[in-house]
Amino acid sequence: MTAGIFLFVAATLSRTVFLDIGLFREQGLTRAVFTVTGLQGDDMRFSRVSQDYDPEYMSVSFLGASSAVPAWGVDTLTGSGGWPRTLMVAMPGIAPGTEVTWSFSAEEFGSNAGKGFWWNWRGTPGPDSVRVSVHASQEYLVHLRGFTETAPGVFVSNSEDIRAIWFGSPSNWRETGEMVMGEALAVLSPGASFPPDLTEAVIQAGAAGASAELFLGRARTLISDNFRVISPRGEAALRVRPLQSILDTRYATPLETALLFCAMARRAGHQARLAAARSDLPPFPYPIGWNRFLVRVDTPDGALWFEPSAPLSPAGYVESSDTLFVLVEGMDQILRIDPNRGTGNLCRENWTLNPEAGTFRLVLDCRGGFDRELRERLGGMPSQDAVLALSEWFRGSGIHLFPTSCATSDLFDLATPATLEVNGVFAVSPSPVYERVPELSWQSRGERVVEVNGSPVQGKDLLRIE
Amino acid sequence: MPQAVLTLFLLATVPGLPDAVYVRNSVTVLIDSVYTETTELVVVPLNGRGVARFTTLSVPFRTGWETVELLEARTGLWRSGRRGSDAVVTERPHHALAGQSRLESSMRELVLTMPGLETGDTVVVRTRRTIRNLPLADCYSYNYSPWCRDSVIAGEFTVIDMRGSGLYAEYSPEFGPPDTSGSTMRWRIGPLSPIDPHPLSFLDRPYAAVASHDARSVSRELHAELDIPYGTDSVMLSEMAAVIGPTPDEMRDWIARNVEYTGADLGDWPGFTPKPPLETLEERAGVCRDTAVLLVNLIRAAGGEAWLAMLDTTGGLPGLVGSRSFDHMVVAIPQGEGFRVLDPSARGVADGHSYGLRGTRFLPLTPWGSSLQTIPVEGWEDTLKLVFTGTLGDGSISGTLHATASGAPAELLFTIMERSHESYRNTLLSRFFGAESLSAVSGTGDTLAVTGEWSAPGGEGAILLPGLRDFCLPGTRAAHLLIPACPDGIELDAPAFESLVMVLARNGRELVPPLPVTAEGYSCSITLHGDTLFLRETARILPLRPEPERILPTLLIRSGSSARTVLTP
Repeated sequence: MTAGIFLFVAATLSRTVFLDIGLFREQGLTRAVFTVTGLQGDDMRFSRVSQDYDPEYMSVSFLGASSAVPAWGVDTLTGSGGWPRTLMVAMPGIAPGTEVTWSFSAEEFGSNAGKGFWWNWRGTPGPDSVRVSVHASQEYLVHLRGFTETAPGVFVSNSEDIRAIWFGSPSNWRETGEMVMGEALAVLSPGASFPPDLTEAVIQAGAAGASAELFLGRARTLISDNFRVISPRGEAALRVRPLQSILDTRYATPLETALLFCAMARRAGHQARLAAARSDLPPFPYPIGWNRFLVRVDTPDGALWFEPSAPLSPAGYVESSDTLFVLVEGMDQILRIDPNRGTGNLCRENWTLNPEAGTFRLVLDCRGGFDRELRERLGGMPSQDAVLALSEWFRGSGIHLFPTSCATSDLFDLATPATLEVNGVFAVSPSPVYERVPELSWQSRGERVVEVNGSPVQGKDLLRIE
Repeated sequence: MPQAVLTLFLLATVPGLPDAVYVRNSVTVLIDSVYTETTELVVVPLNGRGVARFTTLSVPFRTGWETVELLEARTGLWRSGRRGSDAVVTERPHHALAGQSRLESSMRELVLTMPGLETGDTVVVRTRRTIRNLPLADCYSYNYSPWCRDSVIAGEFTVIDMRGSGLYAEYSPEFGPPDTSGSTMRWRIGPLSPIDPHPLSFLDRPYAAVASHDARSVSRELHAELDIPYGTDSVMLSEMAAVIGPTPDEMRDWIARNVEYTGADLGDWPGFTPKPPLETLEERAGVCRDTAVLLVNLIRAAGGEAWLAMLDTTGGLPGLVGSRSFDHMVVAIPQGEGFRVLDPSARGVADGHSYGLRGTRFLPLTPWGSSLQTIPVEGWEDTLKLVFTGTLGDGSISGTLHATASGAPAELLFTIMERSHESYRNTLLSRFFGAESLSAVSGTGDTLAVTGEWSAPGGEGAILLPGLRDFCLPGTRAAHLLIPACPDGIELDAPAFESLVMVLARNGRELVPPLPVTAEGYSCSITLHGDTLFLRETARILPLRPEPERILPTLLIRSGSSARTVLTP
C-alpha cells in the first residue's frame, strides 16, 4: 500500500474583521443585532456559524448573509456547554480569502431583562474592529475599556488587545445581590420552613462531631457524594427549585447546591450566608456573570468559606487562582478572596528509587489546590484506570518510571486530606542508573517539596541512583 | 483477525468490575405490515459510574419513517421514604448533530432522566419502536447483543415473523439455535459476566441476529436505491474530473479539501438520501453520502470503476446486515480480488481513509451484490523519520528537527498543522516533538522543520541525551499506557516505524559514549567523530492494534535511559 505525501504548510485561519452590534432597549426587552464580517481562512470556520440560546428567555433568528445560504442551511439543534439550543447556519462554498457578512438577532425577555438594561461584550483580542450602537430611551450607565464614543450612543474599538464595554441600569450591590440570588434567598427567608429530608441530612452530618468544621466538612461530603451538579447557562443558572425538589431529584445547579448547604448549616444553628462570586469585578453593580456560589459561615474563630458545588475539592477550600470578588447576601459591598497560592497549598513528593530491584515508590501528601487536583485526577477511578491516569501524568511530567499499582485515601471524603502511594518499575534497571529527577507537573501553585531517597533534590536535573 | 490474536488480547486484559447488572434485557421484534421492536431493560447500577451512565438515557429515532413510544420509564427505589420515581422525558434534536455540523434535526432523541438515582436502585425502561418503512430498501435486520460491559442476568430475543417470508438467522455459540414455534424464534441467554470493552470486544460479544436478506442481496438492493445514474450531468462531471484528476486519489483529495462537511435532511429518506453530485459540487457542501456519490461519479466520468460502500465506524457489523446497519458511506475501488476504500469526507489522510478505519468491515454496493469486506489492519507504511542537527549546551540541546512522516503519524501532524489555531500550533507541535520551547516552525514539501530547545539533563558526571522517548509523543504515550497495565483500549495513537538521527556539535566537551543497545524492534548507538556526536535510534511500534507481548519489550527498552547517557569524565 502506498502512503500519501503531505505538504506541511501552516494554514491561514479565519478572522473576524468587523463586528457591528446594534442594541435596542424597548418596553422591558433587550434586543441585540449582531452583524459579523469575516475573512474565510483555510480552516473554513465561517462555512458554519451558530448561536447558542435558551428558548425559555431568549429568541434567536438568522437575518441573512452576503453568501448564499442553501434552502436546508438553517436549523435548530441541541446546544452545548449548558445551552439548550443552538441556531446553526451553513454557508458552504466560501473560498479561503473571501469576505463574508452575516447577521443574527438575539432578544432577551427574562426577568433580568425586565428589571433593567444589562449588557456587556468583551473581546481579547477578538475582531479587528467593533462598533456598538445603543438605541435606548432610558438612562443607562456605560463603562468603556478600549472603546471610544464617536457619537452619542455609538462606541467604537479598533485593534485593541483588551477591550470591554458594559451597559447597566443604575443600581447598588445589595439590589444586585437580590437580583442574582433572589430566588434562593426567598427559600431561606425567616418564615420559610425546612423539609424533613433536610433535617435528616443535618442529623447525618451532625454525626461527624460537634465542632462547626467537622459538621460543615461532613455536610460538604454528603452533598458532593449525592448530588449531580448541572450547569445551565444564563438566567437558568439563577433559577431555584424548592428544597424538597432538589433533595428528591439529586441534581442541582451551583446556586441550588449552595442553597442546600446554607440551609443545612442554618438548620444546625450556624451563621451561614449565601454569596455569589466571579473573578472579574464589574465596573458598577451588575447582575449578569456571577457564576460561582459560595457560603460564608461566621464562627467564633472567623469566617469560613465553602463552595458546595466544587465536587472534589477539600471541604473548606475555595479555588481562586485570581482574586475572587464576592457578593454576600445583605451586604452593599464587594468582598475579595485573595488568590490561594500561598502556604495553604502544599505538596510533598517523597520518592524512593531502587534501581537494583528496578522499582520505585512515591508517597504524596497534599493540601489545598494540590489536594483538589489529586482528587480530580483520580477520584472515582477503578484501580486499573487510576494506574493508567498516573502513567499519563508521569509521561506529561517527563518522568520515565511506570506505575503498576496505587492506593489513595478516600478521595470523596472532603474533610480528610488526600494522600496517594504509587508503586512501579523502571524501564530498565542496570546499576548505576542515570535518570531525570522525578517531579510531577501540577497545575496548582504553592509550596512544593520533592525528596528522592530521603534527600531534597531542588535544583538538580539528573540523578545517579545506585 | 485470527483467533490467536484475539486470545492474546483477552489474556492481556483483566476483566473489570461491572458498572451495573441487567436484571432483564429483552427485545421482541414483530414483523408484520410494519416492523415493531419492543425493548425492555431492567438495570441496577452498582457503582457511581453506573449511576452516571443510567441517570440519563437517550433513545434516538428519525422522524418521518419511525416512531418511538415510551411505555414505561421509572426508577424503583431500594431505600424507603423517597419520592419522584418517574423519569423526566424530553424530546430534542440528537445531541451529536451540532458537534458534527449536521443540520439534520429529523434525527432526534428522547432523553430520559432518572431522578435521584442511587446505587442499588432499579431503572426500568420499556420502549416500542414502530417502523412503517425501512429507509432506502425493505432490508430488515436486527442484531441483538446484550451490553457486555455489565453483567446480564437474563437476556431474551424474540422474533415473530407474521409475514412468513423467511428470515436469515446467525448467532454466536453462547446463544445457540433458537427455540422455534410456528412463526416465533426465541433466544434466551444469561447469566453473562462483563467483558472489558477492548477494540475487538465486538468479536467476542454474544449475539443473535436476524435479517430479511443476506449481505449480497443488501448490496444489490442498496446499490439500486443509492447508485443512481446521473446521465445529464456526465459532461460536466467529465470536465470536472479532468481538472481535478486524473487519479481517484487526486479526486478524493480535492473533494476532501473543497467540500465542507455539512449536511441536511433531504429527499425521501432524510439522513440517507444523498444529494446529486452536481448539487454537492455547486454548494461545496455535503456529508459522507454526498461526497461519496460525487467521487464515484467523478471516477466513472473519467473512465474508472468505483462503487459506493457502506460501513459502520463503530466496527461492530455482524454477518447479517440491513438498511439501518451502517453509519458511514465511502467509495470502493476494485483492487485485485477485493476493494480499496477511499473516504472523500476525511481530510489530511494518507491512505485514502483515516487509519482509524483499519479493521472495519464494509459492504460495497454493486449490481451483482458483494459480500462484506474488511479494511486491512496491517501492511501500511507508517513511518516517522526525524533528523536533528544542533548543539549540545548546558542542560539542553538546541537546533532544528526535520520530520518526514507517512501514514498514521503524518495524519496526526497534518491535523495539527491544518486545524489548530496559530497560537496553539507551536504548543501542540512542541508537545508532539517533546521540545522545551519552539522558536520556529516551517513546512517544506513533505518535511516539517521545527527549531527549538530540548532538555538534556546533566550532572553527577553524565548527560542524558533526548531520544525517541522525548521526540515522539505517540510512541511515548503508547509506552506509558501499555507497560504498566495494558489497558482495555489497545489501539495506538499513531503506529509508526520511528527513526532518529541526531548530529550534535559538542563544542570540545569530553564525552564517553555508552555501549550500543540492540533488541527486537529497537536499536540505539552513539558515536563520536571529531567534534561531532552522532546518535542513531530506531523503534518499530506497529501496527495500530499490536500484539502486546511483541511490542512491550520494544517500548520498555525505548523508554530506558542507559543507551543515551554519555559520561562526562
